[in-house]
Amino acid sequence: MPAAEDDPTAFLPLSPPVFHVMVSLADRDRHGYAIIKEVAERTGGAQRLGAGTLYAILKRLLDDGLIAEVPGAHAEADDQRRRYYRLTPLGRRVARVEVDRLERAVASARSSRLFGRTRSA
Amino acid sequence: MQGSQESTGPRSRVRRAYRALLRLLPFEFRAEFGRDMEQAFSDEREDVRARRSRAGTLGFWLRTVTDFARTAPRQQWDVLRQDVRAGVRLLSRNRGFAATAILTLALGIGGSTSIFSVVYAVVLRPLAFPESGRAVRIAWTTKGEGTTARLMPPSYPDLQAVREKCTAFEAIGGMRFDTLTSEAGPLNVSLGNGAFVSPMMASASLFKLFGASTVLGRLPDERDEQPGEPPVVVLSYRTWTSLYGRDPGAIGRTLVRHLGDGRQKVVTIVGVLAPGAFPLPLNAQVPAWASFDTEMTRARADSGREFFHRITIYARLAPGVRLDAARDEVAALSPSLAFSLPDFYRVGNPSLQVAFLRDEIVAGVRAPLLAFLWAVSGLLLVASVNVASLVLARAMSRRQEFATRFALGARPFRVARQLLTESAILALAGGTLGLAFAWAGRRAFVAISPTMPRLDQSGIGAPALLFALGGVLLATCAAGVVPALQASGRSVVDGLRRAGGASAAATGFSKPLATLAAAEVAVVLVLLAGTGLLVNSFARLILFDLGIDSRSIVTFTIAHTVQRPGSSQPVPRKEGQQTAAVLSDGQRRVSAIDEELIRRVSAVPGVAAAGLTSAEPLGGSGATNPIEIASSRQSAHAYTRFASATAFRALGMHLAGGRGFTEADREGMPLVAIVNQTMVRRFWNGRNPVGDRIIHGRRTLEVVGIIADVHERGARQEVEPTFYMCSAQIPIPDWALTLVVRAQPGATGVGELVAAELGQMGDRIEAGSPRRIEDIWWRQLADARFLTLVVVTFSLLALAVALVGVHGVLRFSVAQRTREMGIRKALGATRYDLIALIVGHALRFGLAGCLVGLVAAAAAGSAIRSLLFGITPTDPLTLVAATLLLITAVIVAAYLPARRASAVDPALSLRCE
Repeated sequence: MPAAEDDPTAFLPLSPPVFHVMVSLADRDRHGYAIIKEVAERTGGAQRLGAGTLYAILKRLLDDGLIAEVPGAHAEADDQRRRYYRLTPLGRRVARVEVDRLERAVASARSSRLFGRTRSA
Repeated sequence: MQGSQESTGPRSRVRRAYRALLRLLPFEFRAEFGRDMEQAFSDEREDVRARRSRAGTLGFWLRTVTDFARTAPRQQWDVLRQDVRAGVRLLSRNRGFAATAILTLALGIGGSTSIFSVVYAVVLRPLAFPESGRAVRIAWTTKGEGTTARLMPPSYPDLQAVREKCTAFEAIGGMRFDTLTSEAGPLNVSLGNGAFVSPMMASASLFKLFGASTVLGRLPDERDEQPGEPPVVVLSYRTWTSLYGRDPGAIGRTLVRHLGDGRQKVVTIVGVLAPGAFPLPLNAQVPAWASFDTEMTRARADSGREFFHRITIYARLAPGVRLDAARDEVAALSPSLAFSLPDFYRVGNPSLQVAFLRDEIVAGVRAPLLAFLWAVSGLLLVASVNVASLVLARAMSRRQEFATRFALGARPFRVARQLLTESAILALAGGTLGLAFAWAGRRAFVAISPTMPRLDQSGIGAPALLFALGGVLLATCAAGVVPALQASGRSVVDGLRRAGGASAAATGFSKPLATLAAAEVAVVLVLLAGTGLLVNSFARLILFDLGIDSRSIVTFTIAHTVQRPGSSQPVPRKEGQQTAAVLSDGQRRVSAIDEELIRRVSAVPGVAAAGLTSAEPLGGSGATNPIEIASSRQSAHAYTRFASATAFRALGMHLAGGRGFTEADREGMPLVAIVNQTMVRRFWNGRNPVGDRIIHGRRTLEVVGIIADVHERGARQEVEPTFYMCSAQIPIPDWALTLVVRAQPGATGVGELVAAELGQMGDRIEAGSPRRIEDIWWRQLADARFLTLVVVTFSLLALAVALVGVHGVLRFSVAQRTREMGIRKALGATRYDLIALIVGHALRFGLAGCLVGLVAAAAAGSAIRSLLFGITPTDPLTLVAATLLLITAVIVAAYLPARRASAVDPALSLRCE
């Protein structure tokens, strides 16, 4: 998808696991298990990624250029052999656009009568 | 952490388990992320262990397994999709290659699937009634001296004995023909040409055995068979429609059964069968089924008037009883029952036999159908090998691509998988197109095939689809595995070297390709040889002289209903040998009826000749009798036949010496006999037997004539020594009496007219359905014609497919050697030299294939021996002709690419790589 490369909306919507993985990389580079833990923490344990699911997501994100492997040893690396991943600028933009989209969706839902009183008796 | 994990047993077991799970993922994925996944897994496991919760550990493992169950198929599918996309892209760039491969596979898969659908319907599929796998038929077989086994239907006492004494069967019943008439006349179903199917009477248990059901009223049951109970009948759905216009008021109306001697019985209609209620092909057309008249049948059996050949016994094996056990049980009864058989059969060492109904129905068509299956399997094989060589040729031309991929780190396995995927795409496309071919092929097969039981029930259903899928798999493996092995076995260095130095590839023809081409040639030769044998046999069959003129002959089975002496009331014996004809009063009455019968039938318009005989031509019944030749005192066995004075003329048989029977050969005159040529050869060493005497039991007969051999059992059976006795001197036994009528050329409806005339004779005789000898003969021929046609079609297809393959391989080889051709030409080779080089190459693998094929053909020939006629499976002329045809075809296929190669411009070719 050469035309879509610079258009973050082309990757939307993101599935919840993919979204959570990207968000987990927002503040720092992480290795695989760290991502799993971070996602579980952020979602209050609701989203527990298995290793297979995680690496299938990472493979796709790598292929799409939304994340990248961090070269060399990491400052906080407890093990040199672990691979760390980082959001690319494109990935960051995609995640932001997705957050915007979700916000708009939530706002639209809030303005509806979903949480208000229903008309019927 | 890592170190501590490796030190202890259970942990390393856990790791091994996880690695096993990892193997579910595609190789690339595993190579890329496997180590990381293992790391993440052990990290998480440490955390879970730290929490020390058994439920947590269990949940962790459950999550892990579910995770793989979700991830692995999706990842595998992704890789497959990539391969397929790449494969389709590649194939669409090589349309000619793809089209050739798909078309040849479609022919192979389509052909074999269509034949399989037929074989399945006719041979493999269970009969359409409950527990049909256990349904059997019980009949006498005789094994006469020097003759093949013959089947003979049993008698009512046989049925009773088996029913009372055998425990192997859970249901058993008999059926026999019935004579029922409505106001509109006899309740027969006309088959055209004067032939018809009569109503039947059947045991109540038979209705249950065949799962018959009614749409109206009830079926006859056991009570209806009790003595004194009024007989009842159910109509077939068709009779109900044609005779009563589907009027429910038909129930309760009556039909009439003629018992002979002017007596009649009223039979009440109690029900209408559902359409297709009797699934057996032979019984499906019966117009009406009456309750079994035990009283009448028993009375006839007791008086010797029950005709031995008129009860058909069906039974169902009790659950768990093996056929062998039932056979033993029934065979044990044989000695006590055989006494009731006519003398004629008793010498043949008869025994009651049990056979599966399914086997019996398809016995005659199994061999040809299996031959078809072989032929189409050959076609499928050739198509697969063909595609294999095409794929391989392309794989070799893609060496550079593979070498590059190897150099970039691709595993041989990955490349092999790509090749297998390409083959699978081809095979699937071929299979899909093949199903369309199969659908059309099955329709064509049904349209042109002669009457074959159960063929109408064939279709492209689940079994045929499964078979086609099997064909696709076979083709994929056959076409993909060899190239895949070739590709995966090639080392990177080797590949790069070949890719770099093109001259390495141009120093000769590819061995694997030549081997595949030779294999194709071998398979095709087997098919061609078999086809040649069948064509040859068919030609011999058509030209064969049966010894009778089968055109325009109609036969009727006749039974006398007047009281006549049975075996319990023999003709008064005279002392010593009897040389002149002596008749009892009963026999004299029967003889008078026979004479009247012949006179009346001869006078029917359109009848050229009419006579009585004891053997229906091409019907083939009987066993041998012991005789003695008076002049040489030689004891022998020969077939006995009876004939009226006019029978030979009616049958179109030719005298080869002496005289035929005349009006003068009657009661009181010397007993006379006419012998066939085989008997003359066998017992008189070819000397003239006229005037010699045959001692047959207490009778001594004078030989007065020689009759030309007749192939009574069809062209495929040898003629047996046979002699004829004059029916005016010794009346024909009732169980064998056959009326033979020859129609005048161009006369129509003779069968119906004669049947009507026989009806005029009142209750003194009963006549069976007319049969046309020509029909029987043509049916035999039609089978052979059909067989030949189908096998020829498939063999020619296989030949065409193989030639496409050989041509493709040579074109590829020649293209690979363009540079070499250029050099040769530059060095002074002529066009002729180059053509000879390539054609010579083709001839080498062609001849190699032929050699292998000849050996295989000789081995395979014996498998179709039963289908051949007048020719041995290793007929040298046929084998040589097939080989020559094939070699010629290979040369033609090689010539085209050879000519193109020979036309290369040396300067261009040297630049081309």
